[in-house]
Amino acid sequence: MRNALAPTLWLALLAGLTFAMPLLEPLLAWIEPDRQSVLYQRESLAALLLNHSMLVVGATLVAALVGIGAGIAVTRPGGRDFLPLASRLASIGQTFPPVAVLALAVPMIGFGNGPTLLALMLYGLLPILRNTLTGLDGVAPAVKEAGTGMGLSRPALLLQVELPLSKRVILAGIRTSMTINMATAAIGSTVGTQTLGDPVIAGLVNGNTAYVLQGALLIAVLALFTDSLFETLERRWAIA
Amino acid sequence: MIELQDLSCQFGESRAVDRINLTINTGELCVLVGRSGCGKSTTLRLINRLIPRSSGQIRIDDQDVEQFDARQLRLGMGYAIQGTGLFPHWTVARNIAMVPRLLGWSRQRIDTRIRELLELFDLDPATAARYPHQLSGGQAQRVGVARSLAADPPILLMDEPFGALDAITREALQNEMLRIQSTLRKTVVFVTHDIDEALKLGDRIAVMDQGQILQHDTPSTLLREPASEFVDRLFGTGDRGLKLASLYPVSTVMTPTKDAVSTSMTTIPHDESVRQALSLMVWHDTHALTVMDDRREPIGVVRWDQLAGGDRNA
Ligand SMILES: Nc1ncnc2c1ncn2[C@@H]1O[C@H](COP(=O)(O)OP(=O)(O)OP(=O)(O)O)[C@@H](O)[C@H]1O
Ligand SMILES: [Mg+2]
Repeated sequence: MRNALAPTLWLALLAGLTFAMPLLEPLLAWIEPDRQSVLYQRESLAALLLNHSMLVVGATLVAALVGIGAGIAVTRPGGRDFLPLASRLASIGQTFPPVAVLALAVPMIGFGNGPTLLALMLYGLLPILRNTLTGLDGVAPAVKEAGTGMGLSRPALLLQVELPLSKRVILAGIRTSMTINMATAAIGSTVGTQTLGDPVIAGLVNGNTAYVLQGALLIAVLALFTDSLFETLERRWAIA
Repeated sequence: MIELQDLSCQFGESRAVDRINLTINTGELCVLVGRSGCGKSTTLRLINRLIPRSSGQIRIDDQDVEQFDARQLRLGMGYAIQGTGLFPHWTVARNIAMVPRLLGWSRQRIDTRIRELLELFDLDPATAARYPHQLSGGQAQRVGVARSLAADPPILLMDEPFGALDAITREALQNEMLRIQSTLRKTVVFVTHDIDEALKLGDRIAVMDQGQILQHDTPSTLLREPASEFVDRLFGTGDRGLKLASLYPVSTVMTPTKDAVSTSMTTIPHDESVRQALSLMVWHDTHALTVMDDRREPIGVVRWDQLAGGDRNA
């Protein structure tokens, strides 16, 4: 029970910021004394938060399926030839800025949710793929040999031995992927996706620091909530 | 019966196993010895088809192993691996239960079997609920061997199952192995690079070097009539007599008498080795020992001039 405390607190803070932002009006007005409007109201913060989170969750689900699937495929006898390629991709890909993916995606699929979803999927894929490879590679060869030598079939070895032994490393990859993407998704606002980046962009364009602050606060708390949620999950698995 | 005929295994340029011929009779414990890298583990992995052979034949009870489904073949052979290979995410009980579960045993039968095996290997019943990382090295090795015996397979392949243990634990496990083998009579292929372990456990020993079998014989023949310089050196030169003396019990050289107590005050159990008898004689400065049976009753006398040649009587 104590484990779930941190994510609960972050969630409460997130809800508070989303629905009770007007309470912070005096503070925001103190930061930007010359403005009439210090509360971002072009769109409700709740709607932005919802779209932002859905995009990231969706992207992470797809990235996890593809990343884990690919990680498994290239460590099987049939796919071993692609293992060096996959591990190089997983390490180089991370240095590729997500803005570049967005810039490349817009001409292909236009503005809106599409390009952001694509960028988040591609960007989130790499930590998951990398950790899947590390996790599966970390299973002691003696353990695999014992399993096969005692009569486990290949799928049974994967499901009963390899995946359970690497699940924590793989989960850590999903955690990294999702946490980074919670922050990265904000960039989607530059190509017309509704995210928590909207107030930030609007603030930057109009020189309104109060807007920037609202967006940034929400993004930061959302990322921290995601991270603490995974930490709780990881601790549960460490005990099991 | 396991028969290897002209069996070879090639890894790229090098031959890990080079045209070996070996027959292991049913109920026999065959030890493979040789230096590191001579092909012992590879030979085991050829038998359970973890690696494919390059040429030659492997037959089990007159059937070529290629005719079996690989998984069925392995389910019928216990496999204790170099360095235990226990599944770290499973308890001891779940580890031992692996093959029985694959064979579809009922839960009750599996539970009974686990209890039996823990007892057989002198492990506390509470061990069943522990994870491998909570075991000492010796306990883990016992569990590894217990696991290979779980479904009572007729054949056991054991790759240095007692490696990396201190001398005392090792000896205890060897004695357990002998005790278990004397009742269960499995067909065992046992790999080690410890010559004393080979002499102690093996009905016959196959000496390997560079992928080939140099000699396959009983322990005493290997000691008395080494076929090559290599075998000669491997089995030591200085203490060969002592190695020979540890192969047979005093009961093979003693003179049975009913009234033995008067002859000597120093006693020795009848199943102790002649080597031990010699040691006691030197230590107690005596020329004769009284031999006792399991109930600690005197059954005979052994004198120092009777000690030689026991392996020929045995
Ligand atoms: N999968 C493999 N690929 C290539 N070479 C191999 C492979 N397995 C074993 N070898 C080589 O085959 C030879 C025999 O190896 P093996 O493992 O059978 O030795 P061993 O007698 O069991 O040694 P040890 O006592 O150290 O366990 C070694 O030279 C080894 O490098
Ligand atoms: Mg070996």
